[in-house]
Amino acid sequence: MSLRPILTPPDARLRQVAAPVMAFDAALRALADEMTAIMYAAPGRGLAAPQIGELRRLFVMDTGWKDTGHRAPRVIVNPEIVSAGDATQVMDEGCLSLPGVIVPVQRPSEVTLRWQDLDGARHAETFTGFAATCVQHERDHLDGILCTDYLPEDARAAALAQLRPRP
Amino acid sequence: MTIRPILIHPDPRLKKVAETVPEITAEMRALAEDMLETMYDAPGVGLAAPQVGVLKRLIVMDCVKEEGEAARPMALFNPEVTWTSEEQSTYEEGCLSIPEQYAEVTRPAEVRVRWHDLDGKLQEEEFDGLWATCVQHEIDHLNGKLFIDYLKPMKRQMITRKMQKLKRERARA
Repeated sequence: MSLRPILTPPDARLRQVAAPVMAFDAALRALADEMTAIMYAAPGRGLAAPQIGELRRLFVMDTGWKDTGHRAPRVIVNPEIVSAGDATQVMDEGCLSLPGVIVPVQRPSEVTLRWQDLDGARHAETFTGFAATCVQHERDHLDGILCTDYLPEDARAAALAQLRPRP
Repeated sequence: MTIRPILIHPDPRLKKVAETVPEITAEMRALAEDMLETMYDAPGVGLAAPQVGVLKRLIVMDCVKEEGEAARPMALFNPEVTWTSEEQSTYEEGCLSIPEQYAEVTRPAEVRVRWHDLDGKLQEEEFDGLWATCVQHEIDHLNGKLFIDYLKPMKRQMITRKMQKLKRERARA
């Protein structure tokens, strides 16, 4: 069985607002499994459903596996940022939908996220450092926002000029 | 290990019923390793022996079953579905032998499968999520069945025509 391709601009599905997940069923579990497999194959640290054309509010992430070699995927459904600290950080962000592009983005360095798991159970956790950037980047995808949107016009054009086709 | 070429539909070998593997020989183990390598390279989550032109009952999969669990490369010889759930699941499937085509297929949401592992030992396990879909999709290959066989004739013919065109283009390249 093959995996679905990761969408790149100018695919319109990357720019749409995704719908909340209502059914916590077998198909949702299968979608999360596929997204996890696609993320590891890419290889990446996070993938949101709209990046494979599923306009549903969920993403998968594993911030540490590239460094530790240990895989610990997390599935985040219907995420909401309930609070963000005043302090910010600038991190170089890449995106599986923007191959070849790395851009500095300033975001809050601490955010508290509320979400549901695959069974619909509610969770909340405070993320800092790289994980804080990652959850904000992935959550943005659910509203059709890409990390390059935070750059000034000329810097954005220069960054998008680096875009290369997915291998 | 070798990456083997994957057959593209339509191909008569993809329509045949594969033979039981009576003994897990070194040759069969090498085939399983080649198939896993071929699957990871594609990339895919499952591959059946007929897709690399070998008409034997062998499938490989890579299942990440639970959060926090490591990926598990699996080789299943002579796999058989021994139980299916009443609950059905509809999922958008794709196939390494039918590149870039995806369509929804409805199958049982959970299945129990029995197979012989690389050491010839009998194993039995339940699969859910993507792995339930994937194991059924791969076992279908051993019976000469493709996911497009579940689609309405018009859609199936449209996909087959696209694949014929793709094969002509690849032959010319």
